[in-house]
Amino acid sequence: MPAVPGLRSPYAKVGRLVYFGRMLDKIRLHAAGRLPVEYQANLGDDKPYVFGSRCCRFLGVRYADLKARTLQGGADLDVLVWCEARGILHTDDECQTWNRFMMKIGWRDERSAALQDRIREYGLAGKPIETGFDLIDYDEGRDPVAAQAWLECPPAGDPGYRTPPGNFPSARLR
Amino acid sequence: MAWIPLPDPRHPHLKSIMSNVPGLRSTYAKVGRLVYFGRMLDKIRLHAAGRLPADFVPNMARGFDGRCCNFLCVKHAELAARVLQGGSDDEILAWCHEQGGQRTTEECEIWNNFMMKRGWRDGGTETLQTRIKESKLEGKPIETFFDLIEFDEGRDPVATKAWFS
Repeated sequence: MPAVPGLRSPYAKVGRLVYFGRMLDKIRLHAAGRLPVEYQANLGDDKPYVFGSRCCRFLGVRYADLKARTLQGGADLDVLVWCEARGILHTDDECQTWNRFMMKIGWRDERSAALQDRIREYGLAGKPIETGFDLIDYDEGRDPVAAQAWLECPPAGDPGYRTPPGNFPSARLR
Repeated sequence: MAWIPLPDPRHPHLKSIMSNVPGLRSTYAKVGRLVYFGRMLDKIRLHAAGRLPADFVPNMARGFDGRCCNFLCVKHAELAARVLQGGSDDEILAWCHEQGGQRTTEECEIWNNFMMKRGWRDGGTETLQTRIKESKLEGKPIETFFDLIEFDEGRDPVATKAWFS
């Protein structure tokens, strides 16, 4: 699959979270009729193990509600703040744990065998792909290994975002 | 082998690693749905019995212990008191859930994988490589801190794919 204009890497962060921005991109591109058909089957939150579903559950929001809010307009951070207000406001520690979990899916876990199948199906055998995120990036023409995309870095383009204060318990966690 | 205390406060658990300690189980071993929890209980019990090597003591409640307590939303001191009252591992885990709240299966899955993969492609990777050298375990297929602990205590988690157990 060649790169899809307007669809960012799963490693890219919005606020404290990886993948979230990519999910918003897919919502916007789909609404604009510019999301390739191959991507459309996994939209929504009815398939529990797809990344978008995991992201919605982590945030405590329904995909349909997130989609509606995204299409109302606003920056990525506006939508993330809306999610945190409506769903679950997580601690920094919880976000870090979730990010690492997401970035490493496919390595030493129950998805590892399926990942190898996908690598072959996509014609990417020989690439140093270890995770689902790697697979997506290589498939779309990026090289996350050369860039070490998993290393923590400040999210780009959101200087106004502030991590919620303190190591507070999230709404769900007591 | 005993570890020389490390100055890095971000990884206090690292300085407690040493050779096989009787009664101290694998990091990968599960109680209920959680890895590591049982090992943390072992450390509490061994310490109370005077059988936890001195190198481990300064790091109790920190490092992976701290992460486990944070996840469960319990204080290590309170957990230790509960452990020493007696009861099985499962009973103590149930007590933790009563105190700190239940965790969903997905939350446990996320936390387990985070713990088991810690050291691979993250902020601990460089430190892990240093510790491997210090432990004279170069050449072992160590990719994570769990692996390091296992190999250092005489177990081979890679051969057994302990992360699938």
